[in-house]
Amino acid sequence: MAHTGRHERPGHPEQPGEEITFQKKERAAIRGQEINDSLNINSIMDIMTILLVFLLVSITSDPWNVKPNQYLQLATSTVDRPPEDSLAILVTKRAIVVDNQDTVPIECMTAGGRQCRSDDDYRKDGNRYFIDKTYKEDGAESSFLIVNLLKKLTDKLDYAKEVHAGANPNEPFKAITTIICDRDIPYRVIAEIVHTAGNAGIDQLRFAVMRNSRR
Amino acid sequence: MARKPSSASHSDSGGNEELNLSPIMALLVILIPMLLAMFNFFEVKVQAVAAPKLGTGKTSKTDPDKKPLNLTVLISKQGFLIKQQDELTDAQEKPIPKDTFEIEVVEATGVTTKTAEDYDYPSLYNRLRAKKQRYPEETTINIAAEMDIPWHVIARTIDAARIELQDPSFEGRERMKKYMASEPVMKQSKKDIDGDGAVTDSDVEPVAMFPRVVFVVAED
Repeated sequence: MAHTGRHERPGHPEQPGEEITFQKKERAAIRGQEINDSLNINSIMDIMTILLVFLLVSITSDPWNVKPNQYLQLATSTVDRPPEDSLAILVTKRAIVVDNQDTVPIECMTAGGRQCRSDDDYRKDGNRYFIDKTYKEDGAESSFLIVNLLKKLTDKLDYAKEVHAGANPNEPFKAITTIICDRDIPYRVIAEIVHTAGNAGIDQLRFAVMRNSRR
Repeated sequence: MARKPSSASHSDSGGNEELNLSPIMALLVILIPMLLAMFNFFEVKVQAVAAPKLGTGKTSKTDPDKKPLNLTVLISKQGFLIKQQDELTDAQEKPIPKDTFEIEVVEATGVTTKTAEDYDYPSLYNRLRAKKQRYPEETTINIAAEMDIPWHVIARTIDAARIELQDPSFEGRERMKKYMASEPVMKQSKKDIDGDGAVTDSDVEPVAMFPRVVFVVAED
């Protein structure tokens, strides 16, 4: 049986004054031991090095390493199709991002009809998200074509075609885009993005979702 | 503290002194939590969707005997409405309104049961499964939604239409719980699903219902 209490040890001083002195001596002895004996950390080093390499490989090899935040929460689905190599369009609560650049801002109005300003506003339910008409074709509210996004996608697609033609001249080019969309983005914005992507020449669409075993 | 040269040269450490791993350990202790914070503990998958059609459009098929079913799920704030080619002019299908369900929510503190109004996905699945049994050749489903319906509702609607589940139908007050936990019907695949280089008995895939999803936008 392991004894942990000092009073249980044989020959331990019983007087309070003596006890304090003994404690001091005991601590000093432990400290001295710590200093003199080198700690064998080789095993921990091995584990940590393996863990580090594993994490580095996992993070760098996964192009769909989407980090959720308050502006981007993915919808859940039981779908089991892995992401493909494609042009990613990130749709957060604040902007449409292509190639790590904010291409078109997304407007947010609270349920009270006020523009979202603080982070707390974005957390509330009942917000309305939309794209301002100034970013649409002819500045028309009813238009589904987002001009800035169309230009950006066309440029990206032209570049991708050139790269593909150089690398695989015999294979036909597949214009695929993966839309990584926040769960609260309304159908109107999605339809506008999809329509614009279609106009840019993208014919295959994928929507990123978070895999969930429960539907 | 600086040592005298003589004492340094006569120290007994020599070549036997162990490498001081403490700074490397300190670096790793910082790096690993940082990488763990960057690491995603969920899987990102993709749902394929065909480009949207504006308006009802004209069919490209020329065979008059083989009309497309044009099965469409309309998502509104009140619930779902299913339509198909012969019902587009006069609504015959009963709408599937929202309902109140008891849903188990997994939180950090444990599993809690919440009562909330939600779309009736189990009833939608029942109807779509009946449609699939009636039209087994049909693989396309049109999804149309009111303009302010959020993406997560559309994603769950696609989920209800995509694959066949083991339970033939979901009825009663507990139907949402049963639907959420239901497993898909699996079949032998012709493709190498598990990536072992050969098509074996272990290569199984879910039985599809309406795997081809098309977004439809009604013109004003």
